[in-house]
Amino acid sequence: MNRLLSICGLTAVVFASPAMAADKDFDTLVKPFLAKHCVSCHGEATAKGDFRVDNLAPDFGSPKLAGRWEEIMGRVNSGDMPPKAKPRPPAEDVARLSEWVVGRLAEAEAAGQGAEKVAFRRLTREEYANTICELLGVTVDVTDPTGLPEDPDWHGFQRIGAVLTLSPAHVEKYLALSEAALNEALPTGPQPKRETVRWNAFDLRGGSWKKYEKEYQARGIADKVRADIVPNNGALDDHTLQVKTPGDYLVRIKLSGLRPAGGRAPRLRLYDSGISRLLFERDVEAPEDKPVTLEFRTHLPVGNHNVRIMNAVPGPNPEDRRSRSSEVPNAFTGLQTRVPWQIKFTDDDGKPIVPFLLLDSIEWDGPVVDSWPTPAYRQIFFGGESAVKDLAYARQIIARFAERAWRRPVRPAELDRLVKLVETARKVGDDFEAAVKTSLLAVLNSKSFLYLEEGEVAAPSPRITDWQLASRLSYFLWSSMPDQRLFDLAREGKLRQPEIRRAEVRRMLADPRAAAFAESFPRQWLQLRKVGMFAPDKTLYPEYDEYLEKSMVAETTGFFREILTRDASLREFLDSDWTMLNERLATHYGITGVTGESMRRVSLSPEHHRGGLMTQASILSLTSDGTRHRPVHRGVWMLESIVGKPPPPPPANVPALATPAAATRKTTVREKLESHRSDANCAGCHRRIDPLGLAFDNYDAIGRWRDVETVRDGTGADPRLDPSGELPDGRKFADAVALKRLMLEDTDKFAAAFTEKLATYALRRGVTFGDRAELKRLVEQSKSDGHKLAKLVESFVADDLFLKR
Amino acid sequence: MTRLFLVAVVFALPFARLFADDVPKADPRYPFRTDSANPNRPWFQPKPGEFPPAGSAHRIDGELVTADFVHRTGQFRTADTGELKDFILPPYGAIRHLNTDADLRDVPLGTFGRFFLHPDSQGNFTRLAVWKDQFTADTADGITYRLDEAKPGEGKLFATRHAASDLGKTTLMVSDTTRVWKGGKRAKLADLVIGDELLVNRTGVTKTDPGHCTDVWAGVDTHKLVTEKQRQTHAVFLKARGLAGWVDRTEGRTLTITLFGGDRAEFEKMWLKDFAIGRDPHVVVTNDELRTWNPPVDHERGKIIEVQRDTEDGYGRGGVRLRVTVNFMLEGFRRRRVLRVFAGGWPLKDQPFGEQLFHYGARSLPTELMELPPKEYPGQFPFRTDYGNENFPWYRLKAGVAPPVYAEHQVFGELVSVDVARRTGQFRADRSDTMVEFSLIPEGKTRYLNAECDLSAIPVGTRCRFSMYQDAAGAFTQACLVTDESTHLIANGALWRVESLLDSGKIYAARQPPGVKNDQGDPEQPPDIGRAELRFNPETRFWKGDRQVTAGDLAVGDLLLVNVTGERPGHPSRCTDVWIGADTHKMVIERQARKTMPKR
Repeated sequence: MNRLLSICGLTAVVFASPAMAADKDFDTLVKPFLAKHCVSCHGEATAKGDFRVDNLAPDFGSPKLAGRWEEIMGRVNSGDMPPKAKPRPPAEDVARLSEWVVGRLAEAEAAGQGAEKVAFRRLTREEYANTICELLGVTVDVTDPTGLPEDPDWHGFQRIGAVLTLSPAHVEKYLALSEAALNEALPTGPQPKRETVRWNAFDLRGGSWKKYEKEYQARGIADKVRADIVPNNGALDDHTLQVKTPGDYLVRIKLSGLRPAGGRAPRLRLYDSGISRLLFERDVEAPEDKPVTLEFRTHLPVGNHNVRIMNAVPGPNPEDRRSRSSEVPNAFTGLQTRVPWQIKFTDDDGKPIVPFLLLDSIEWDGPVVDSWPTPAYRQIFFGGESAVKDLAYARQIIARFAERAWRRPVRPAELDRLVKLVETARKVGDDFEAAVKTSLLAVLNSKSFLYLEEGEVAAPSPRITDWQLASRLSYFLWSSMPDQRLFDLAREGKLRQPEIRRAEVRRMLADPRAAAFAESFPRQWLQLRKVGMFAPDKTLYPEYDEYLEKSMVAETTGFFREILTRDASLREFLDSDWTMLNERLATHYGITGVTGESMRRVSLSPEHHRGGLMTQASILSLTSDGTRHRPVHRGVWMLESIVGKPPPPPPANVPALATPAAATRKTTVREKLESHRSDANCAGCHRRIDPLGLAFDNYDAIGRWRDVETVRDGTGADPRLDPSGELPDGRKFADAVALKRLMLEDTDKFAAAFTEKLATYALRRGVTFGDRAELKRLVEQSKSDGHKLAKLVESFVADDLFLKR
Repeated sequence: MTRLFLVAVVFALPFARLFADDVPKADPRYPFRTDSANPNRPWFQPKPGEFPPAGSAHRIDGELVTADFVHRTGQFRTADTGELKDFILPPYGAIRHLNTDADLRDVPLGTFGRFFLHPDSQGNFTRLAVWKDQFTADTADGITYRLDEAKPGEGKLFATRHAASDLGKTTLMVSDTTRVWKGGKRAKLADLVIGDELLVNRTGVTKTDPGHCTDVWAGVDTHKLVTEKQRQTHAVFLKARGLAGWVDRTEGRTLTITLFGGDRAEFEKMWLKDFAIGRDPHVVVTNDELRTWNPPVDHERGKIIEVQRDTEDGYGRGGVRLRVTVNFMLEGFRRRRVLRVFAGGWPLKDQPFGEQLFHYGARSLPTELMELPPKEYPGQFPFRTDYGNENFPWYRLKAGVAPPVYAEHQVFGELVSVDVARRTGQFRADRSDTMVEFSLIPEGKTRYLNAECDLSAIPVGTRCRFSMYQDAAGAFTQACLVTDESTHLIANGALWRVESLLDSGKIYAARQPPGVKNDQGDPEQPPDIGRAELRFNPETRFWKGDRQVTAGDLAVGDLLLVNVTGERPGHPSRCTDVWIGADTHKMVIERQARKTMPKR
């Protein structure tokens, strides 16, 4: 009996709703607040608006009750309640009530994500593409317009099962993509003919230039003609490439690129507007008389591709005629042949003054078939030419394929259904390969392929199965399906052993596929998707371009990868004496001595005003809008991503910051916010938020250091910035450096926040109250490991938490 | 008789320099040959981007017979030999008319003046540094003609030529066509009174003939008035086109531009106020003909950061140098390249038809006005052309290969004989007595009245354009195209319009470009693009419809299509056929087009 009670008790703890566990704060904080400020109107006696709070249960599992709590928070936050005639509650109390409600709502939401017997967590489009590639050796262009819709996010995470829904559009796209992939992987006809389409300078110059080719041949200088490309030439000319056979193509570009002294190198960008895909971009430096040939490989679907060839560095408006090709027949054969009204490339001594490109040719060579039949064909039709093409052979083929695709053993009934498809197809006249492909198509469009299944209907459990564990691990670190070793370990039941999992983490992190984790996790954790979401104003920030934007993101993901690879401490996220830079970003930061576009580790000095995540341009930029920095956004981001305590949402109808009258002195955003914060309804939250954002006021909207704020409206000099502040616990700081020192003192708290993010990413759901014990244990373990990142990942995977649904 | 002799001698004095055999001396101030010194030194050879030094030009007197306003070229007939000479105004080349700067179009045909020329790369004196009419030259020397006696009936004005002191008696010849100006108004010869201070311009001057006055301006106030009027005319002209200058240097986005002008003091007075420090001019790229591409679009806004006085001597210097910082550097902003500068507030509009090299849509240009790639971009042509690359060999025909454009050399000459069967012929090279044998290459074509035809269709005696390649010996004998003058006119949509008819067998005609549609799509007749003297004699055939008429049937305003003879020493080119009126042109062109080519 006692044992039974214990089991029941344990179960009750494990499955406790957040509400049940929140009694302490409810009793000491919420109830007294409601009693003092709300019950007189919304109690049993009056129940104004038919709304009672005296008997409102803190059950956030109920959508109806959760909605009521949300409304209470909103009305109190906005100052609607209590009404004007009643005394105002202290701002701190309002803030605490809001935090309590937000916390409970989040927990309820997270708990709801794992409530089913079997959870189906759809593959993200990145995972879908990686998995298809792993299975069939074919690139699926999921981000193309013909690909898959972008995955929605939940607090930055784009892999949360509860929000990854499946629409009819998905079904159509999955069918089309998988069919195309199978056709490419298992071609039934002869080996596709590899052909080279060559665009010479006359093609590349576009317009009516082609008609002059013969004339230049007659002159004997056709081979000297080149396409000159000015900076920021935009997308004036599309060049159409007709792809008859899908596949990988080798693209070779012969060109020169001239960089002005002290300036940027020209940057070649090939953008396929038909499929909205950046095919290639690279800084190019090669003298006029010594062109280089660049080569890249890309996968192209069938159809007409409109390729834009750009010099992606800032320059005059691309629509301006001075930026365009001439319409008189004077093709570029040398710098002296340019038209006088075009933008000037070189000074009077012939040295470049703008970064410009001179293109000779582009070759599209493909489809490249590395072997024939394709590796996927040989793997799937494993019996080779000598195999007897009957249903038994088909059954073997499908069983092997489906087990890998579904990442679990296939049940006989499932296999029967799939083989039946082959049989039917054969009957209607399909040859063996085509019939099998029909079945494989079904495999790739079944729920077991498209979803990661967690749990068993037949045997409900709070833990995932061995096979599911293999998938969780591989999709966590590789964003792709398990490899054979993981399948073998799952089959043997060895993945349950923590030490095996630790060893697997080490193996998997050393695998190139782990780049997916190093790229994807920081992007989602830090919400890097928002970088460039509000494109900086071209007038205020003319130097901002896509290359800078990419470099910003690459710094942060590279920074994460460096810490992971070196198994460095999480403390480095908070502050560091190094960062990852390329020339473009180093120039942006005013750091010299960095050349080239690859990211590399660069030591920092205090005068660089950088170190850690929070002073990286990506973070400073994503927390700004297109025109100015946003201290409140920065503070909110800090609370969400670094502190791990997101603030409640702002009340409705918050007025915008006022623009001062023209005759008044210029004021900083901070000064404008002061008046905003004087409102008691705002003060509670802003006391927590603003100091964390204002500390980084010395960084403008695109992350450049400054001492004064550039202010357009008002009179007098631009005002100096004041980054000082005080944390809610009373600790004061003078600037961002001092704040980072305070945050380093709180490394354990940051480690807790970070671990929660890691768990959210890996488990594909929000963490709940029920996860707190394991999370606490992990943070303690991390502390004893010196907060080493790779160790933390290892410990996390080895922990029981990783097995939980 | 004695008096007449005296008159002739006195009149000839101003030109004595030309006709007498002066003994040249050495002049250490000039490291080159001048008209009066250093005969053993070479003439100064102009260099791109440099103003020729003062005193370096060779003076030839003569009268203007052809002016191409768009290309800033023309022809004059020398006073001493009657030889026809070509001239090209370099970018800085100045026209000084009525004692102020002017454009070629301001100068009436036939005006006698002084051509100050430099040699081109072939040694021919074609680079016109400055041209001065007599009014300007006399004014510069402080000379006027005080009227002593007027005998209009005899066509003579007796006057004392004087500056600070008397320079002698002279007789000014006048005629019914002489225009007399007093104050701002036209007057008559009879209105002249003894003692009037006269200034004149003349025409018809030869070695033996003092010519006669085209205009007589009476009174000092009249002289000032006419100068001011011309100055204002030219100011309007320049404000619409921008002041021209070239780039002395570039530093970053700053250009140092030296402006062109014919008279430094006048230039400063006219323009300095518009180009003060801090003003925002617009800078527009320009070719050596001072033609712009598309100012409303090409212009680059700048800021004047310095205004310097250019104190060096030389032809074409306006005396002002600007330092302008622009927003963007364009390829045309290079040392030695020519620009036009529009002061802030000046209209930045499309330039008159033909003066702009780049036109959108319907305003496409006829061939003779189009941008010429071999001229503007010689690097595009790895062979010599008529427009550049003088150090390169000419393109040689290759069997089975269509020759590239602009590879042919254009030669003018009067067709002397043809052999239709052999597709060969003979022509007399223009302005010489040299006979040239030619043969049409297999792809060669002949056009007459713009219709493709056999060589026989072009009447012998017609001046033609021969587009030629070299033969194996290097002689230009291989013709790919032979056309008459009318074909060139028709192909370009151009016509001559009678402006005035002279008793001496001359027609002064304006060259009228084709009608175009303006920006609103309405038909519009662009302004004239040139002017020329057309000669005729009794052998000239005049046509109206099918009917042959006489010169007497011509009227001012008639539109003419013409063919001409070649020019030979002592035998000026004259019209062979003159087709009068649009209906006649249509008829004759259609009739020629209907004539089928006999099969070869």
